[in-house]
Formats: sequence, C-alpha cells, structure tokens
Amino acid sequence: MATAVVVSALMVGALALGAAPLPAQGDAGRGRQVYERYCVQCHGERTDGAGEVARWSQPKPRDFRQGIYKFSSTPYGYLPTTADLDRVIQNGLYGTRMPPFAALSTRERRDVIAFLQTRSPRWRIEGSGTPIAIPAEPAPTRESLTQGRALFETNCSKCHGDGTGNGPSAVKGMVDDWGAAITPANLLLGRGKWSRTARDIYIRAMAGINGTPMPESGDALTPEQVWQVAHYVQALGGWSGSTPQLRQFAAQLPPPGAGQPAPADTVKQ
Amino acid sequence: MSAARRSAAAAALVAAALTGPALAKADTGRGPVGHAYVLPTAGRETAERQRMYDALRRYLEERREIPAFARKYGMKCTACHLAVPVLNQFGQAFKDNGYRMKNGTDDLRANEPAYWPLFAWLWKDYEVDVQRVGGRTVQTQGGISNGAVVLGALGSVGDKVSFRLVPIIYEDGNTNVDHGWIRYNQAFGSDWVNIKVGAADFDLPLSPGREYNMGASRFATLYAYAVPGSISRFNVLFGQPGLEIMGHDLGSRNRYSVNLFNTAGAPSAHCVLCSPGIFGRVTHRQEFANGFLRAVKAGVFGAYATWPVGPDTSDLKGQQRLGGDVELWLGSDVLPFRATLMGITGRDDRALVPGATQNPKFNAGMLQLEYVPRLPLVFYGRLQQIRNQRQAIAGTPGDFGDQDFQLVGVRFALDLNSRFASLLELTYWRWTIKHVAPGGANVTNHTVWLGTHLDF
Repeated sequence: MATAVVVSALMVGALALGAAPLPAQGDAGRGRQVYERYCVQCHGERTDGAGEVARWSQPKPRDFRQGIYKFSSTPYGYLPTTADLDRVIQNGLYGTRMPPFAALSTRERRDVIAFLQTRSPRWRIEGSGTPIAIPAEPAPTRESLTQGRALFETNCSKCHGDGTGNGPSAVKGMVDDWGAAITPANLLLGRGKWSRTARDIYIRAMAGINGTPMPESGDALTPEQVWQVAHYVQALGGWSGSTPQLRQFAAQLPPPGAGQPAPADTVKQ
Repeated sequence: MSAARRSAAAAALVAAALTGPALAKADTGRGPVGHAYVLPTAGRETAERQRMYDALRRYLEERREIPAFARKYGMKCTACHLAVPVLNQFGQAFKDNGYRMKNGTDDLRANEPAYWPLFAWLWKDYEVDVQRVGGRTVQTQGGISNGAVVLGALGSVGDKVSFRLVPIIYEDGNTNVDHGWIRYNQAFGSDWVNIKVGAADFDLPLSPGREYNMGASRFATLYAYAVPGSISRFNVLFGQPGLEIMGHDLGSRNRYSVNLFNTAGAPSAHCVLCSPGIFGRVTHRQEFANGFLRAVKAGVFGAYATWPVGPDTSDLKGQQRLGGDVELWLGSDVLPFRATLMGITGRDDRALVPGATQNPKFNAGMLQLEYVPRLPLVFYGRLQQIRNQRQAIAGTPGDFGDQDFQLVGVRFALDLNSRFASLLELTYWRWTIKHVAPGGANVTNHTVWLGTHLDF
C-alpha cells in the first residue's frame, strides 16, 4: 500500500512538471550526444557521412558538413527548415538505412537538429530557405489525371519511364552529385523515400531533390499542372489518398509514348 | 544482452544447484552446522530446488543482446539500448514493432542474400560467493564458471511476421531450446493489434530478460518469488505458453499487452487448457519539454494464474499478482540518470500450500537506479524487498522467507559496433532470506562477479 502511495505521488508530481512549453531551439551540445547514440554509425564521427556502415549503404548517408539535404520543402538549392529535418528524423527515409526515429522525444530531435546545424557554415551564412507556397489541392478528376499523364510524359518519363523508373536516362545510368549511381524512383510502389501523399509529390515536383538529377519544376509547370502530375503519380500506385477508381482509370490510360490517352468519359469515376 | 551476467549469476545458482551433496543437505534445511546452505534452495523441497534450477536455466535464455539487429540495420547497439541490454525508448519501439524498423528494410528480401537473422553469444565469468548463516560464514567458493554459447534466431522475416527461437548450449553439457514464438505484426493493419503465439515473456517493468547483471540473484528474487511451501510453479519471470496480444502507438508512448496462457509446467492429464492464466499491462510515457525531468513512464500490471490441485489435478486454484511501476528519466534523454520504482502484491489460494490454514499474501518492491555518464559505461544499483504479509501456515513466523536484495555494479563495453559487442562487468550483490536455515537463522549470500561476454 505504501508503495502504491509513493508511486502515485511520483507519477502525479512528474506529470505536473510536464506542462512547460517546448523550447524553440535545441541544444547543440546535447544534440551531439543524441548524434553519437543514434547517428554516428552511418553518418560518422566527423559527421562526414563516412560511418562504419556507410560502405554498405546505398544511398550513402549525408555528409552534414556540406549542408546539402536531399529532401526539403524549400526551393531547390536552399537549406531545409527545421521542420523538414524533423520530418526526416521522425519518418526516416523509406527503403534506405535511415530509420524512423519517432520514438525519440521532441527535445532529442530538436537537439540533434541544432547540432547538425553547426556542422556546415551554410546554416550560419544562409539559414533555412522559405518553404515553397502550396496552393490548395484541387480534387483529382479523370480530366486532371489525363492531363497529368501528358505532362508526366513530357517532363518526367525521360527518367521515370512508365513510372517504374525505366526511362532512357535511367537505362543509360545516372549519378548523383557525389558520384554515386542513382536510379529514379519507382512510382508504382505507392511510396517514395520521403513522399507519401499527393502533397508530398507536389513538393518534390516543385522543389526537386537536392544533389540528384531530379530537378525543380521551375517555370516549366504551373502550380495547377504540378497538381495534375502529382495526382497522376498518385494514381499510379497505392499512394496515400489515391482511390481504386482513380488507380483503375490511370491504369487504363495508354502508357507514356503510346499515343493519345483514352477518352476521359469512358471510365466510370 | 547480459548473457555474461546471467551466466555468472546462473552459474552461481546453477552450479550450486547441481553440485550435489551439499545442496541436497541444504535443501532439507537440516545440514550440520557449518555446512553450506545454498541460498536459493535453502529450506525448500527438492522439487523447489529443481524449479529454481529450471528457472535459472530458462532465465539464461532470456537475454537478448542481438547483434544481428545491428548487422541487419547497420546501427550501433546504443541506438536501441540505454546501456546493453536495457532498452531505451527507441529500442522499446523497435521491439514493440516486432523487431522491425518499418522502413521497408525489414523483409529478408530487402536485405543482402548473405544476411541471416542469426546471432551468437558466449560468455565467461569469475565469481566469488560467500555464504553466511546466522552471521557465520559457512561457505566460500569461487572460480571460473561454466559458460555457454547461444545460437539464436530472432527478428522479422517480412513485414508481417517476426519470430524468436534461441537454443543455448552449455559447457556442462546441458542444452536448452527457447520455447520461441511467432508474431503476426499489425493485424488488421494496426499497430494496436499484434498477435504472438508461443512462450512470450511478460511485459514487466525492468524486463528480467534485460538485466544488467548476469548473476544468479537478479530479478529472480522478486519476479520468481513463490510463497513458502507453494506447489505452484507459476511466476511472472518466465514466458508462459499461449497467446499475446499487444499494441502501441507511434513511438510506443502508450502500450498495452495481454497474455492468455496455460501455466507452464502444470499437470495436464485431464484437459486441454488445464491451468489458464492471464497477464496484462498498460504503460504510458510522458516526455517533458523543459527541466531536469526528461520523461516519466508509468504502468500497471496484473496476473491471475491457476494451478491444479487434488488427486486428479482437476481442481484449479488461483494466484494473483498486481503491481505498478514508475520510471523517471532525469538529466538527459541520451545519457540519463534513470530511477525505476516498482511495487507488487501477491496472493495465493491456500490450497496451493500443503497444510495451509489461510491464503498467503506478500508484498514486494524494487528500486533500480542507473546512470550512464557516457557511452558505453553504465553504473547501476538495485534494491529488492519481499515481505510476507500473511503466512499460509498459521504459526509460521511472520517474516519467514522474507528477502532482501541489494546490488551495485558497473558495465563497460570494450567494443560496441554494428558487428559485435564485447563487454566487461563487475557486480556485487547481497541476498538475504530470513529464517530459512536450521534453527531459524537468516541465510545471506555475498557475491562478487566479474564477467565478460561477447556477442556477434
């Protein structure tokens, strides 16, 4: 009984202490400790991406000294926001050696981000970029998918081919900025390393992927067109938010390069 | 995990339990003055000695230092372990996910063909035991203990299926095979429903399978406690054969587990599910944004198990255990000072104790302190107390069989990488059981343990 009272008192006291707001900035010193526990094996003691298992990793771990991050909500070439880094830490990068660290506390994640931001002078000189503006997502329709397929063929199929990553550039071989072989994503899998939803696809199409041949769309596409491409890609596989009807419709569209797509009204939505 | 420490501990108890005449006399509790009384078995029946022996054997099987995971995922042991073998929150989430990262790399087909979810682990230790009865030293012994090699298989073969099977080969010729289990992950697509079939360990605070010290004392003091004279072999220390359903949220901050089982070792001549039991636990972890207190994890647990009695073993009698725990992470998430306090109360049906006149009850508590000043170094200490609140047999001294246990230790990893771990450990513990020696004297064991173990 006495034990139960003590335990209860400790629990109540501890919970009462937990009402403080989250600090906006992390502690880089503590972040180094977090890094040394969770990250050093891949990213290396010098944060140069040359950790013990880096040689077996493909893609290679980031070299944080360069200040180049592949996945960001900011325009191509800009540093990511803290939220971008936190997202990668929490969710990991699917299919790579970067696991999801959702179990880490918010403070741990903030601290390690603060530490990473000390590793490149870019953070001090340039700071984080501004996230790209994302207009409200229109509802996908057969028409927008049809248009998206055409845009995909024009802008994406050179690398992504029919969506599986078998475009002519991919067949010839591609490398990233660090000289490592890289293959375009197989969009039929319904999930990218970073992307899960149409919104994510939109961001990737707009901002590209730093350090890789995946460019930003720049002025080549309007936001409306990028949404059309995003919805077409979403309908290629079981991406979050895609519906069986849209996937069925997308599957009946002729593959890129095969000519005119099927009339939009030939398939029930 | 702490194979080495277990080996040492186990070595002490196992060796003691196996060494023969001295032990046999100890079991009767009527040995001549000056004779050795092996603490865990003193004053108990031979069957109980065997039970302890079995318990220790099985306890050794529980360790889970699995470099195979580091090899599979390319991570350092410290990613999952606060200090090997104790899990941190990331490791807890990994375990709750069925030893999966859930990142598209869990399926064996996503790994190099050369990868197999196997690991090996071996240990050696030196240990000195001093046993005192009634304040007088009756036995001093020590030496290099028998080690063992563990050839285990554990992990996930796909996104949906995880498994565990761990055979252990001891130098003294004994071989045990872990009961093992198969787990179906994310039934109905939800992290809240994972189904494990087999002998699953209970989700206890301070998992006994992840104990720092490999010595014989450890959690057996508390989790394996049985009221004096009980014929039941049920305890919460060891996995029970049955079904486990557990679930958790993202990051495993809220968790539950329910085990439905048939009490291991129960006679089963007249039924299919002869001795049913249930165990359950819920936990919540709260993390704090500021201050010295980094996180609190609180939980409650309970078990109700049955054991057959009577001539045809058809009369089931119950045992219940109820407990609560709170765990405080102080100073740092990564290099914390962690304090864990746990209390448990137990009550058995008197029919489980021959000659009993009333239902026996006991209360127990445990406080464990751990401090990780830097990787990979950890200091730890533990206090355990067991107090019999009501003896089964009227007239028995109220504190007969009460136990006190204190332990301090330090563990340091010489190597800790993605392929192997090599650790050293130095531990001292004292374990007292009251009034179990002839004449009612207390029996106390002092043990110094120095061990090393290698995992790869």
